[in-house]
Amino acid sequence: MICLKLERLYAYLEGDLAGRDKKAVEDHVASCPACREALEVRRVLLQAAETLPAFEVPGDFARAVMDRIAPERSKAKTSGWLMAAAAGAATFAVAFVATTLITGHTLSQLVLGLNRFLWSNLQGLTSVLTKGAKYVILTVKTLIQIAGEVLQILNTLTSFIGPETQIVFIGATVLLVLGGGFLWSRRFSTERNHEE
Amino acid sequence: MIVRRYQQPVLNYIGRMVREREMALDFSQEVFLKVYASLRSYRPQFKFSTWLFKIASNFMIDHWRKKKIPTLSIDAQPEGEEDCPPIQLPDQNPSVVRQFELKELRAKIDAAIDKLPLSLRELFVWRHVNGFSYEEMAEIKGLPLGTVKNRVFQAKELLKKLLEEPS
Repeated sequence: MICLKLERLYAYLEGDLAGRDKKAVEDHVASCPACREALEVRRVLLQAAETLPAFEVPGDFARAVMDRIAPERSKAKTSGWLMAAAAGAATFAVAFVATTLITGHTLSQLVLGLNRFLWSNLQGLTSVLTKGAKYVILTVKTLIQIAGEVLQILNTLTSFIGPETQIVFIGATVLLVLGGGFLWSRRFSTERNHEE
Repeated sequence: MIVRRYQQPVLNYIGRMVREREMALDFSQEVFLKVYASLRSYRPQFKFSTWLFKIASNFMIDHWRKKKIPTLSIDAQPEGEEDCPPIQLPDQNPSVVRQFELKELRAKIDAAIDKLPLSLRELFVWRHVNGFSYEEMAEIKGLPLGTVKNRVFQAKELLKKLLEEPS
């Protein structure tokens, strides 16, 4: 009997053989003690290797990696913001100097003027907003009062009529509305056809 | 997301290569930094894990070179290697491997992996710890499929021999 090559035994163990090849190995191993022993040894060896305990990954591993990647990004972001702020400040300074030169006012006069302008506009805006709020509140109050009155009238009317009559009344109203709508739409379309 | 998805296989690979937990964690971090730095060079037609492990493998090669490991280079061809391995027949003598309990055998394998030449160790770890296919490994290393299979075979037989040596 010719023994199997070890490569063949590994191929069998790793599931690389199928059909007749697999059957041939199984038949040979069943009748050859040396190959059977060799197969078992390698099966145990691979099983142990494939179940070696995994290295435990610390919970903060990914964060630690990202922290080392992020500084570059956050540095870029910060420098972007700084650039924008610096550009804004520079524009303001240039505008201020230009205004001072053109108008001939001193720095303190300009600051004072700007302050007065902002304050007077703020006061005007506040009074407009207050008036607007008052009108909105008044409108809401009136609408609530009207809705209350309508509900009171409906309540009084329905107290005189039994539930069956109410259903008939509602049904008739719905039918009238739907029928009226249908007739109106037909008339409208006929008129439009005539016009065309 | 990339880190969370691949942290365990990368740490398992590097951990089995260096066998020191802290060093393995530091190296794994470095590998992910390199991955992020090279993301632009990734081409979607390749499998991402293959690309990532190529970076990890190159990192390990650099490490061994810096350390000037006197053993075989990680990419060197082991002595007597050919694409078609010689005919290997089962031993006629019973092996001691089967006498060990599974837990004891795991500890012995863990220690024996460290004695494998680097070129065999890496492929053995990828195949039997990380569970890579031979095709994936051939792509990562840029080696012919037959060479990869032969090296993994050599690693397994050498491992068995190391386990049978009296400690």
